[in-house]
Amino acid sequence: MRMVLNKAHRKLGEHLPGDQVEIVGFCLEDDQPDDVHQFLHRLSEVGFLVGEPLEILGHAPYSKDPISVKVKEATYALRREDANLIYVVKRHRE
Amino acid sequence: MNRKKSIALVGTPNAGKTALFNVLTHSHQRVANYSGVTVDSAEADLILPDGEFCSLVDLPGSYSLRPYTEDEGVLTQALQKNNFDGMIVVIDATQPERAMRFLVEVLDATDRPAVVALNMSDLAFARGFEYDLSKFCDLMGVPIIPTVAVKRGKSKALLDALEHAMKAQKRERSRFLPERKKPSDGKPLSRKEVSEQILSFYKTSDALLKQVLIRKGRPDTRSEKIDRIVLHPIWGMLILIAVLAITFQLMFNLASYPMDWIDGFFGWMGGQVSALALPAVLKSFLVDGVIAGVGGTLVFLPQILILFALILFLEDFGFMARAVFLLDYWMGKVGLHGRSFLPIISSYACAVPGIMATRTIESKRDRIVTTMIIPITTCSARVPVYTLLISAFIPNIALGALGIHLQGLVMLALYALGIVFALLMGAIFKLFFFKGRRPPLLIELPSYKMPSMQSLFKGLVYRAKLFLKRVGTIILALTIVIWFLVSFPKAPAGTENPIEASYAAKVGHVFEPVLKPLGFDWKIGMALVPTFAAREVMVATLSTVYAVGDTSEGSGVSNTDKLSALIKTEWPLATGLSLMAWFIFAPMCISTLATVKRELKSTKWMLIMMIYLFILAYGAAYLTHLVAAGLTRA
Repeated sequence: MRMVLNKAHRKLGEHLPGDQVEIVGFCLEDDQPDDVHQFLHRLSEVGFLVGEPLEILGHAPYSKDPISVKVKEATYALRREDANLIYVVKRHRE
Repeated sequence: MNRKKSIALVGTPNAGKTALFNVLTHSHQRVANYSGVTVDSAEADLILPDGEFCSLVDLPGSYSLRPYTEDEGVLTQALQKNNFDGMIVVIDATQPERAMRFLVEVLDATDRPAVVALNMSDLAFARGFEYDLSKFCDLMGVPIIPTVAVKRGKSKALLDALEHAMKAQKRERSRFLPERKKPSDGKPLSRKEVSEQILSFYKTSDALLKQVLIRKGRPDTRSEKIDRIVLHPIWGMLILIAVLAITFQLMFNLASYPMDWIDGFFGWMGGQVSALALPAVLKSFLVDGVIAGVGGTLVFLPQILILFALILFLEDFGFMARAVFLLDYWMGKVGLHGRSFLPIISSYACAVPGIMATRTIESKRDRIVTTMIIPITTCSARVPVYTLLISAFIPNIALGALGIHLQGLVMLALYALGIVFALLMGAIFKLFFFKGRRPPLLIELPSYKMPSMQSLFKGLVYRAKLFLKRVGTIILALTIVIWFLVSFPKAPAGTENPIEASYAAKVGHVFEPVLKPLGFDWKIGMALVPTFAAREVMVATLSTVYAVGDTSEGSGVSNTDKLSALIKTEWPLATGLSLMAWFIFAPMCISTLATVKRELKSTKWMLIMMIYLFILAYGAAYLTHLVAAGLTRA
């Protein structure tokens, strides 16, 4: 099952600090290794759910990887490669 | 007599669970929890308001009851067994969604009486969170008590509620969440089914939360402000380096004072016992065996405590997660994981807690690589060996005007070589055993908070106890055995070298041919044998070997100084350097091997570790001896 990406859809890992986005889906495939799959479950357990607004707070110096992402009241560190499994759409600031 | 009741302490990560545990309990921790973080269940006495003694079991924190890392599995299993009498659920008031999601899942999982500690209530209040507590209690069917883990006074209400709930015996198991789908044909749920289930769980719990959360608080701007400095491209790295530098500075400089006192105390005690009118054999047993052996090991206590105090402080403060964030990319280059940082730092005290701390690494392969290189990091048991060898063989010449001395520089170089080889081996393991995509990383950067000093102190007392137990058992037993081997059978009076007649000499001579290329004589060979049980015994063994060989009484000079002067005259420089190289790898102690086997559940990896370290140690010592002997001869 591969999600069909809309033109406005981007991968979370492509974003820069300060960006505000909203989750539209996850890259969930049957041939993914087990740890990737567990990771996707863990993501949803800590609050990465479809429709959830996210804010990219920052990234590690030099490497610009991992990134820190705010979801609800918590902040998580994700590697860009892994963050690319999350599809998002940019939100416009109020 | 009634059975002692047990109470489970469960909660989400970073909700202040361990701090609450330390505040609620009264000493007497029993279960081994030898680590920088809660990775095993700790247990301690808790006294209810009516005076009843219960035991409180601190279970590892988890986001849900679907275990992801091994330490979270402990929680799920404990709830499934359902064999406790009460439960305290710790949730973070500043993280309402997560708190509710965890709470409903736990309350659904067991029918045991429960109370909820709505922790960090002070922070939540300050940030403007507002809960309808009476409605919350009614809705969940359990008492919910706002708590501040770092303040003891606030825990009274929690214990009152717990006692009350336990008097009421059984609690009706709640049914907040939709029934968990159980596959009929025995196959586990498909990936899609699991994610659907999680989503439906969260919809339910979020709807419940809406009924009790009156107002959401402001975001945690304080942590964001601190992060702007700690995670800054320049300041962040400088802070990280400064933290490491301060840690090691304190570990060596601050610790040297109490270490001198301990050394002095055992020297004094040895002198006192020598002066007693006791049979010579008993005197030798007490002074050269027991006092020299135990004293030689006990001197590390200050170093271990200082390192753990800093680790516990940084962990509680929220810094460790930031260190993972800053270092993950670079660690990845050598096959490690950002989370390898804490285990590796712990290993500077001892490899055993370091290896146990690798449980927090989710992926098996990252865990294996981290475990395999941990024994190369310079654990504190090597410090006395290095100190002895350096003071004996390296002249203390000042280099330049900066107050840098050659001895200090060599010590630093030995540490640096340990790091270089650890990273090199990590890269090699990655290259040959684990190719392909790195397992994903997901780590929470918790809010900064001031650690509770009381909680920190209790954690330290516990670690001190574990160490003392080890000194009193394994190490004491070993030193007695060595003393016996060195002292018997007695040589006829008037022999020039009485030790040559001993069992120890026979053992040492067996190893001599293998060790000769390294420049080690039989006495070193003899001293190396017990290092497989505990490296620090090396110094004690040498003390015993030479104390027995040398009949003159100690006269105010500390044991280490005497020994250093002795080996300087006995060993050539090349031997000293070669032994230093050996100890960089020092084929690890039995407790490390046992821990590896138990933690990785693999004899194969234990054997690989043993063999590769032995080859590295032998190779390094051989090369060092070859080069050093060649240079000194020329």
